[in-house]
Amino acid sequence: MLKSSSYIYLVSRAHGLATHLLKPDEIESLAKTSDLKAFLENVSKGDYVRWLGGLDKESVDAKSLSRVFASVYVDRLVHLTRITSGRFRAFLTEYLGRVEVENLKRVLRAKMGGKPISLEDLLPLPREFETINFSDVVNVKSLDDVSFHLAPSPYREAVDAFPLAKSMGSTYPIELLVENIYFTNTLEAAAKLPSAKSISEVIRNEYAASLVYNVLAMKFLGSPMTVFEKYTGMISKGLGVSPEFVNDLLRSREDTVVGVIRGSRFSWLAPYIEEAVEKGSVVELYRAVKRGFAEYFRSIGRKKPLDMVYVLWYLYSAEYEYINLSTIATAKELGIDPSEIPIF
Amino acid sequence: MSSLMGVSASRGALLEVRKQLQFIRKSTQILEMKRDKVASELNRLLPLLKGREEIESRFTEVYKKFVKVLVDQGYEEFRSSSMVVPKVETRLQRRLIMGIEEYDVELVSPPNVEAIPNPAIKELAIEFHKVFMELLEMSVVENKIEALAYDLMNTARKVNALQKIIIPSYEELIKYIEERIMEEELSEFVRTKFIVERREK
Repeated sequence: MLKSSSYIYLVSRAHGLATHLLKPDEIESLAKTSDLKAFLENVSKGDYVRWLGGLDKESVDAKSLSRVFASVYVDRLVHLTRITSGRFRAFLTEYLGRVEVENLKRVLRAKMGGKPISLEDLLPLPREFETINFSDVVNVKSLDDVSFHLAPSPYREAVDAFPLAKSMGSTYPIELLVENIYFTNTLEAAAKLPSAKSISEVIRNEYAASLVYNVLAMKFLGSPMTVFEKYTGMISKGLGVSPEFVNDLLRSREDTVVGVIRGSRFSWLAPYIEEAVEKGSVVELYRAVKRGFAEYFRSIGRKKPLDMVYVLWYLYSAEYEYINLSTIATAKELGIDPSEIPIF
Repeated sequence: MSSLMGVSASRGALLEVRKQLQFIRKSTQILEMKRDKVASELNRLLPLLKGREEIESRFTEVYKKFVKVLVDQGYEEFRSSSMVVPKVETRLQRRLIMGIEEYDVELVSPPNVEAIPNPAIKELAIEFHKVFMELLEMSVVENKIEALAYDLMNTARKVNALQKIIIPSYEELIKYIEERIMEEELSEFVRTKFIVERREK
């Protein structure tokens, strides 16, 4: 089938923009730098000099560096979205919603705990890509007031989780629904793209990885599965699987859960998490899931360099670069041995 | 009239000093009881101190895990997750038992670590909270031991001073007054006898 010019343009631009990403060996050599100052000097040699050049090398810390890396990550996503149009832009705008979801989580948590929060505490997303007016939301007095701002937004269904969240004293149920809505909306926008099937598959796998991590972590911690059980229908719809699979995932014991995953369409995740499940360690599970998904999307990107999936590969690569750089900066500040720094 | 320690050797003074000695002996007995009680309380608490090493090693383990989770999740996620937990309120309670100051730390509103939405940070917070509470209990025990040990030292010193210095000096004083009274009574008797004999002559 003949590909449209905007499709070719987007994939070409993704290829061009991908040259600005750090190569895996560059990330590894950054991890091997002696300290935070050396890391900053090395990372500033490439494209990052634009954002890091103005920083005072003597007083810089991992926290401020992470903020810069977050800005670069959001800039990359916004830039690609702005240069596209039509259904591609619609999809990328939905994809960009993950930044808004992250910001929403931060606001919800602050309001739940009655702590102050300002726009400086959020990822810098341009207003045109926000469906919630964060300038107003950060100033509301209580968690209930946040629900008023969510009601007219794409996250309106998450308002349903507010009573449960308040009774638990945790934003977890709301966050779970917001994430579900985000993935559902992104998948809906992906369905209109030329390579809908493969793109949806990658996004579903990302959602599955996140869900598997959350469900298993809750099992390890012995926390009740009430929240997941209540929204099984929504979760299974978002994942594109039967509710039985979600139920099996929730009800299976720790020693059989890997088998449930292995028997599903998300079997690619099973080998990565096996060891962490055996240990019952949340930290190990987090790293395993991150590593598993990173290897998964990289393999897909390599296989289809002229497909829309490559654009998705670029977007995930930008996100993982942000994660890796922030991780290295924090590790350098804490004086952690390079061999112990998790790089995905 | 002769005097010792500013006390005149009279029958009234003797009664007063005897009364004082009786009071001092009773006080000494009470102090001895207090000393024994404090010592037994110290003996009960001291073995608990052995647990400190284990708590400290667990605290070190949790700290190592904290570093690992911080590297994974980053400062922003840590800050954001911690915001869910409302302000922790504690109350320091001061109690005075037998003149010994004791402090208890009461958690008025304990941290709701179960509310943390990030599972990795939640796991860490649960472990940290547990070991922190144990460390807090240990610090209360240590504080109690310090106060008891200080009081035991003071009480033992007081008991010793009473038994070895004050009571013997009072006993000596009583003996001295008694002797002086007896001497004065004898001299008074001799004088009276002399006067009577002179009159009869």
